[in-house]
Amino acid sequence: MNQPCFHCGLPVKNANYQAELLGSCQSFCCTGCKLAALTINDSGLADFYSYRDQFSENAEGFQQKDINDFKIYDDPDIQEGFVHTSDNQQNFSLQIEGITCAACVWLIEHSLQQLPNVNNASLNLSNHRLSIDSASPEHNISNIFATIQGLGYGAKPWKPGNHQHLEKTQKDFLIRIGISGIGMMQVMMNTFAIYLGNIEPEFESLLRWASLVLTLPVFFYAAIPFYKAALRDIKSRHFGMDVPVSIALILSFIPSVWATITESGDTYYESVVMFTFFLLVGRYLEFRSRLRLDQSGDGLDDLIPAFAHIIKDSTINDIASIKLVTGDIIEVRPGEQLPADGEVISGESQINESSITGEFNPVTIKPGQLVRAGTINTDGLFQMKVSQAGHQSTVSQMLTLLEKASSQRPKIAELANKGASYFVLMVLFLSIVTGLVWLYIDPDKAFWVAVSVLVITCPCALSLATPVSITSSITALRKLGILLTRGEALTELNKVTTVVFDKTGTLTKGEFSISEIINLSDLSEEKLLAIAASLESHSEHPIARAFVSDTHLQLSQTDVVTNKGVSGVLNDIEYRIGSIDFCLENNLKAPDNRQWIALSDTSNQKLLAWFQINDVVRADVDVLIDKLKSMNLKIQLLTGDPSNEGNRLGELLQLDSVQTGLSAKDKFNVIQKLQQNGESVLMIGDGINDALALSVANTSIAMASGTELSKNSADFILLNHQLIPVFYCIKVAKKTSTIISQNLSWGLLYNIIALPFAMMGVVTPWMAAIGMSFSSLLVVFNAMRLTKTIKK
Amino acid sequence: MNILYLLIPISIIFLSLAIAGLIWSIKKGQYDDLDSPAHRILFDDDEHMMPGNSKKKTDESNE
Repeated sequence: MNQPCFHCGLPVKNANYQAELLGSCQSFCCTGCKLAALTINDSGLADFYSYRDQFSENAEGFQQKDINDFKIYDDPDIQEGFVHTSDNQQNFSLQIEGITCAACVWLIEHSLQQLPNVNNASLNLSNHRLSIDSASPEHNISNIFATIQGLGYGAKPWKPGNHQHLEKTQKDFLIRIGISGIGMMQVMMNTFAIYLGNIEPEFESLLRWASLVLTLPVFFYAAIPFYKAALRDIKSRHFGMDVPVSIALILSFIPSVWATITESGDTYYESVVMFTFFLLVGRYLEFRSRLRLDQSGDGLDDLIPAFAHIIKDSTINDIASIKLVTGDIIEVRPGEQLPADGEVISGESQINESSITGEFNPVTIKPGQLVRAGTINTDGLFQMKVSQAGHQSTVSQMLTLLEKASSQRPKIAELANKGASYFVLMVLFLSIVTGLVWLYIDPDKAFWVAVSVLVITCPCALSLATPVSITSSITALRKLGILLTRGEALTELNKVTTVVFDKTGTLTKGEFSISEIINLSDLSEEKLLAIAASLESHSEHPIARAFVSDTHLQLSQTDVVTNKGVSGVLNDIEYRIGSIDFCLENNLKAPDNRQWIALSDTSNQKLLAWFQINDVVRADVDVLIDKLKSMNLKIQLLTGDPSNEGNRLGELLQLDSVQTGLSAKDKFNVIQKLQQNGESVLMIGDGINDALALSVANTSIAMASGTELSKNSADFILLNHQLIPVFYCIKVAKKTSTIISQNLSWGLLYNIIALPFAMMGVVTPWMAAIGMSFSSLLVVFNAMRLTKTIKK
Repeated sequence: MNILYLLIPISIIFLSLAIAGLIWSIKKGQYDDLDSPAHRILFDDDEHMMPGNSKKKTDESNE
């Protein structure tokens, strides 16, 4: 029985990490969590553990940086852009990662406020942004970063960009909604007195004037977005929903004002304010569903390390990566990310290029070879000459390409709005006809009947139909562990005909593990694994992480040989693990052409075991593929891995087509070609090399474990490391489109029923108001069913 | 009923105050984070202020 880690809740695999905490002995899953918990306890904030209602995120991922790595943030050049300094006061915002509940907010705020120079720290739970006011002595900012990391969270500088604009829009929306909401309540109160009927004309006039005053801010301020959009639509001759909305607003308001002044006819103030309020709420929901997750900086920050070791006059100094120029000589140490593109001049190592190609099988590099920024050096030390740094580097250019691709994405037509706007134009026409007909019947009433036709058929329910449905499906998806970043994607997902998967990191877990052991010795498998794991614990190579064992053996004379393997001595026997020619002198061959790691007793020249190292397929892949097939979707696999692995997987899962060895650009082309053949493509991926494909596909899903870049280009993000939610996405999309069409039909039906009555001139303003609010509420309630029905 | 001539203008004044207050609070960012304040109140970090809670007192004196 594995007990959960005290800090993050992951199962505890061995008893190596324990600590005395809160009066009893607690177990942890890794050093990261243990350190975080001890730090929290030492700052006197252990109450955190009783306040939180969810486990924290695993802390190890956030603790890989050395305290010195943060020193870079004390550099004024780096601070520029995110720190505002005035009167010896610094103000800046950080984006915090790893926040799971409100207790995290409490913890971070309290521990930062304990720091000597921090005057105020406040963390926003909605957008995970921490705002700090502090005095500005040296090393202050690096200290703050280090503190946050110590608690088991990640921090990144937050630079206002596009987002500030969105935030302003959001506040704007709230103010408009507030004004129209308050206006609606009061106008309703006034008009109710009129509805009741027994009111002296003198007071009726007073109430009308009061309503007019209350409607003014709603009509002239709150409803401005509709007029603006309508004007834009008219200019571009593309009729959306805003034109009929504005017409309905203006044609209900102006006659009401006239009626108030002349003390005749009907007033429709309550319809104007209610209409504005409902529509604004609908628009606000739509806007929120479009709001992407917080994106900090320009994305490049995640891809290249903050600083580099530059070699000048045979001394090594640390400088900010952005200051590197062509021709600089830099040193790259084991486990570090490359800060720039360049050529290796001395040293030898293996490079993990997964950030560029998506494949994590390391590539061997030698002097003269070109390496790219953003890739990770595994085990050797080497020096390189910078050829392209910063925005000239390959990763940065991929970013530019990506921006272009996402702007080229096929525009999604404003669903439903088209049909609805035709309907409303028809209503406009009908109301004119009604007015003309009534001119013959009763010229005094003609104008008011025409106005009531307009008001009763106003497209309120119609224009609410889509946004409320999308908003409630976003809630439904979030409960299933899926983040929807672009609301319209739901309607696209419904039309998908082909599903394209990436292999590494998507269908597979994206990390090495042992899939098979061939034991050639008389030792037990556990013993072999223990030796292997103890040897590999000295290596930074990604393969090393595949070897896990509960027993840690103390080896002596360990030596890591770049590109070969690891050797060490235990009980006077030298063991070696790695490639076969490193382990033994005779020319043995691996069992087959898959990737095998040998373990040998070199002292006796005896081969002990073969470990087959493989990238394991996610557990729920076959279930998902079956479900997708039952929906008659074509399934393709596009992978950057040139090996036979892709084809093998394709055969195993019986996919429709497999293409291997593709670059990011190739994937992009394949998808474009599919689209040209009339397919609607859903792309599922995780790497930077998938980002282009993700942004060009009709709709896309990224794994939460993937790179920031791929998450930024995807419409859906799967939060819990499983693939089966892909199926839920499609299910929710189907359900949403059913609800949307129900809502639209109801909106139309209501209008068609109400229209004849209005044309006959029997509809009074109060009927119009009730009809409108009832039909709108019905649409909202129908949409709310979405959150409930999708549980299984 | 003549009182309406007084009451209705007063109601409009009150409403304007309410709207002014709303705009002020939105601009001050009070609606930015609607999640954490609800939980914040539940964190009993005032335990050390309660009489007879000596464990927390020592914590505080360390600060």
